[in-house]
Amino acid sequence: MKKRGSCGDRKKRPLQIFRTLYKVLGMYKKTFIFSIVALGISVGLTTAGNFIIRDAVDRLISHRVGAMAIIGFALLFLATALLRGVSAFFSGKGSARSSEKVALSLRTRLFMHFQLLPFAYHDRMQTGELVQRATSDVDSVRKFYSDQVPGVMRIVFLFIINLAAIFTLHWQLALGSIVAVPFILLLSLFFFKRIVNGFESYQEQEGRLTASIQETLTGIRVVKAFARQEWEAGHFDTFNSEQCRRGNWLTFLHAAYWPLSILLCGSQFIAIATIGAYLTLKGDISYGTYIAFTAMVAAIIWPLQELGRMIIELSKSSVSFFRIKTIMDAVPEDLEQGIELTHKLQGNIRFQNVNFSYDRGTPVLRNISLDVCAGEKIAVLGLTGSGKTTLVNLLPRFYDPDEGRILIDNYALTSLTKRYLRKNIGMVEQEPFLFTASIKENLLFGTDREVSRQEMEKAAKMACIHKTILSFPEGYDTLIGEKGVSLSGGQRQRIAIARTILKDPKILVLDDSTSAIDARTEKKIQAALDTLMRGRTSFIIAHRIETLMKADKIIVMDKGAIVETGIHEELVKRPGIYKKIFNIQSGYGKEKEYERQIETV
Amino acid sequence: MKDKSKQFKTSTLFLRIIKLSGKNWPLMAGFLLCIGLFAVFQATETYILKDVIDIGIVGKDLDAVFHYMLIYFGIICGNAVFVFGFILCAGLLGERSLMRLRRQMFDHIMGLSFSYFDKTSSGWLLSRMTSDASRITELLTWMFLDGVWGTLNVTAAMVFMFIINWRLALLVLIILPLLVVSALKFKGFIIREYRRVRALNSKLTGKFSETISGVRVIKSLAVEEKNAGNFEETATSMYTASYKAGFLSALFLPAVQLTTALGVCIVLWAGGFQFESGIITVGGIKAFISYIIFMLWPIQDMARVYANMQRSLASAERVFTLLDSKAEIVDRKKAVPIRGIKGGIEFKNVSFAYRKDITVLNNMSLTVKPGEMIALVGPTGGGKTTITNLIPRFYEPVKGRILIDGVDYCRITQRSLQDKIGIVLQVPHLFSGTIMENIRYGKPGARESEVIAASKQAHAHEFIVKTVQGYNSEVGEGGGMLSVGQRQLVSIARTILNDPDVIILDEATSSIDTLTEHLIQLGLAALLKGRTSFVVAHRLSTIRNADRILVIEDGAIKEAGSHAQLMRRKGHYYSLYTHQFQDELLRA
Repeated sequence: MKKRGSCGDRKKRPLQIFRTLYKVLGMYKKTFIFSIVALGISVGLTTAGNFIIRDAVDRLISHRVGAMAIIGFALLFLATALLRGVSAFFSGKGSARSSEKVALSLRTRLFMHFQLLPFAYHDRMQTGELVQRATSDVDSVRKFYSDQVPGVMRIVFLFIINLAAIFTLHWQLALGSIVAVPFILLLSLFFFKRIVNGFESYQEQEGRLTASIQETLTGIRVVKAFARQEWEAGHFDTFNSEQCRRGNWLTFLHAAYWPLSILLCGSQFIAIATIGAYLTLKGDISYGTYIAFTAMVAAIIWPLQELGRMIIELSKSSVSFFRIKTIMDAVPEDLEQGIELTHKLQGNIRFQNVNFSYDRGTPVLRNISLDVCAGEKIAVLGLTGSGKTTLVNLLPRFYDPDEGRILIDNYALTSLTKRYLRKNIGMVEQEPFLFTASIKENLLFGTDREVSRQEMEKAAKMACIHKTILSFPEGYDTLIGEKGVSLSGGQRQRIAIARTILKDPKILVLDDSTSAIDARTEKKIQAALDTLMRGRTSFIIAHRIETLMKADKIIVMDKGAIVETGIHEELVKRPGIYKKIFNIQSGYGKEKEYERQIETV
Repeated sequence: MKDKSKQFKTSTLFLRIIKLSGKNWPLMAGFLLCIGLFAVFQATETYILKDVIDIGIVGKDLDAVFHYMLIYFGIICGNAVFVFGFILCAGLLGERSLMRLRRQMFDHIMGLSFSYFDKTSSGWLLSRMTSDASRITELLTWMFLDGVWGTLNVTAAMVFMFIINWRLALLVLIILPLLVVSALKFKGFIIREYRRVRALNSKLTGKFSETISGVRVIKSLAVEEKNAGNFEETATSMYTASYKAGFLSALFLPAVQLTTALGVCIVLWAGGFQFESGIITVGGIKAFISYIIFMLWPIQDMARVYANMQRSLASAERVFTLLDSKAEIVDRKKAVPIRGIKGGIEFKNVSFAYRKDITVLNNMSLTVKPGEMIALVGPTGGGKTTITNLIPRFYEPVKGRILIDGVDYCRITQRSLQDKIGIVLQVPHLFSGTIMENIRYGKPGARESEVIAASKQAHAHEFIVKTVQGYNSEVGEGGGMLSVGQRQLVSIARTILNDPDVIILDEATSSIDTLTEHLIQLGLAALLKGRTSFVVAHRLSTIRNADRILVIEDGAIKEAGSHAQLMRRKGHYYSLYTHQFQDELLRA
């Protein structure tokens, strides 16, 4: 399992990170910039509102305007408020649009990318982890554009614009207003670094607690069987109280930070408001200026309390992005590389000295050579781990051989596009995967052409599943999966067979292991498979001699190599694995012998 | 998962939630007091600033400025103390109540019967203990806090406004409901949108996990584009919904602010008139403006708090439903503990059904002698597992009786019975911790030498000492760091240490390497020796060793006898044998 982005990503300088995240915006860069500019304008207009109030107050006090004229100021104030509202709205709309678009494009790109990543990649990665990248990490990136950057920028704008405004009023006062700012920032960075870490450690413990509860719940049989309820409760308590302890630490940090920052910000405000009052009394600034000034100082200082938190969160969400990027950087399969034939394949297959291993480890296939003519039925037999499944997985190029090559109709497998190849190969797995959708959608999933209702039903009939489907309340429109009917293993397999009939490939791979199915269903499936195989080159991974006997060629695999090849009549005469299996299945060896003795007696 | 929670009255829910604070009620009183004082003090700040302006600045009295500023500083200090107080009280209360509630739920779940766990997925229970529990404690702390703060804040502001100038205050009082109603309606709308976004989001997550787990089929059908097309539909509707929600949110705050601005505008205008006639001061006008802007926050936040409260109450309903559920199997009043199971086990006309309409066992009778080894074979769903579940009384027969040493086992306490029955599962469940801890699970407080002796008997010792940290090696979650075979050995050792009188063994079907397999067979032989045992058997060698083989099909014993007897009969066992054990015969 891979952990977060590689170390190199973390060492990236902030500027580089921002450049990358800016590029991610793609065609929505303008929208995003616009939204930030609109945010600045709306902050600026709020400050402008303070100036209007200043003038109104000054004129009121100096009685230079009548009470009637003050309505002019009131309306002007309302107008600025309206403009401010409009720009705030456009800012919010812009950031919503760009952030949601980024999320949409990341999701769709990741989705396609997941589908195109090779088998080997999926073998290594856990489903849950990939899902998390596509959901919670994408959401963190979305928040970066929708909340975090605008949040930080709002505070920055408030600071710059209001400070500039105070400068125009009285520059010494302006300087005096920000004496405490470095301290507020330091305090908030100091605490929020710990708070964010503390929160993560709290979450981590929550995760551990959850895992421990889950373990107890899944192992409830064992707990009860050993009657260890008290012991489990004690075990649970250690996790539970540890979380409480970490929660208390977090509480303590908050309880320490907020009063301190209130004291700091409050002292700054009071000090500068007192000096301002003194200057007003001296006549250096007007009453209106004083009122506007205090409002603006408040707008500079109080929001700074939050800045530390936002900066820390900002840096955390870039980690999410680089985790996504690591996945996007993995090389996907190219489905288009190669040529596509205009006609369907015939199905002549040739393996030439094929060797294969997963991750260059122990060889799984050794020197496989095999000739198959179009329409032939090949049975593959062997113990678990002998390489049967790997052999057939090479045909649709789920994996490529390390050495040797495979030809279909005399085309090297690698010269054809993967898409074309896979369209021409049908696979029916032992435990087929069906999608959460209607039966009809599942049946038609593998076909590109228009399929008539008649044709679909015909395929279902051939797969001996038509009647079963009709017995469901909504027939072919019945949903499969959590919200619909749950199908038995045999039913799933027959739907997969019908799906393959509709796909109509020239080459067929069947994993015919029917061990978990009762005899009646097994017969039905066997009949369905027989229909399916007619006129197609078929590979059957089989366990029953009954199935094998009808094959045109039987290959027996052991430890990655083909050890026996031939038809039933030949193989049964030679000593070897096949003969052994045949004996067990047909005569049951010594038991049979034993019975014969009894019978003769 | 269907929602099976009961309906509670809201007042009942609130009462029960408040009761969760238990002995920590002073913390609750503490944070309510602090937040109340904080809200009032905050409103006072503005009033003091008014006096600074009116009495100090306009009145040209520098001493008054200092005087009021000092008071202001006092208020700030007070606020700092109150903030400290409410964060500390609410935080501590929250964590403690959460811990208590979880412990309470844990104990309750531990006491529930097996049937409950069959009907309820562990995921469902998990969500109750994690997210629901924290939502409830959030209601108990931060949501109460928000509610009290908001209410008191607005009230105090209104009171001060009336003190400053009742005419203007009345004017404000007129626009206030407008603000409240529009904010609530609007925010309600936004919250509904976000609910849709959440629903779509879980659909999207579902699509991702389905595609990733089904990627092999998608590849073999070569339907990547088609599937991506399906996904894009959902992703786009997710975009549309979240954009709409974002759009509405972008509209919300400016709209509320505009209403406030309207209020400020009215105050400026009307205040201007009053100023002319000397009814209001400059400081008064400024204070009004501050108060109006100030009230904006709690009001625009009301709808969010309300929506969260609704969610928390729904969580509370589910949690209390769980806490109110009763165990199905409880000890009878006069139940007595047993020391051991020395005699046999007898099934007398036992019938069983998990659900009323589906009978799983039908009128089954069986007598097992002490020390006998019974192998249970037959198709899945035939009833083998049910039999093994009935013996330790994880379930009770619907009809008939099960006798242990000749006594109806309903007259024995569950704990003492289960302690005497050892169970070895097909996929053995280990708990995270060391190997030592896991084996000791069979007998807490066992000496190290006992643990080692047990694992030697189980033939587990050999592999354990070969690991880097020996008995102190971590087994990982669910034993994941050990192979299935090794887990099996540890679980055998655990059961040997437990020293039960009856063994229930569900043999593993998965392939295990030959060497480990051999050790397991030796371990099991040691475990089964001299004990009555029921083995759900998958291996030929095990079955051959059994004293008696029972073929269980359709809830009844179809055949019984030794291997040779049953082979000769050429019935169910014969056909089962020929199908199932071919691979094994081959390897032999």
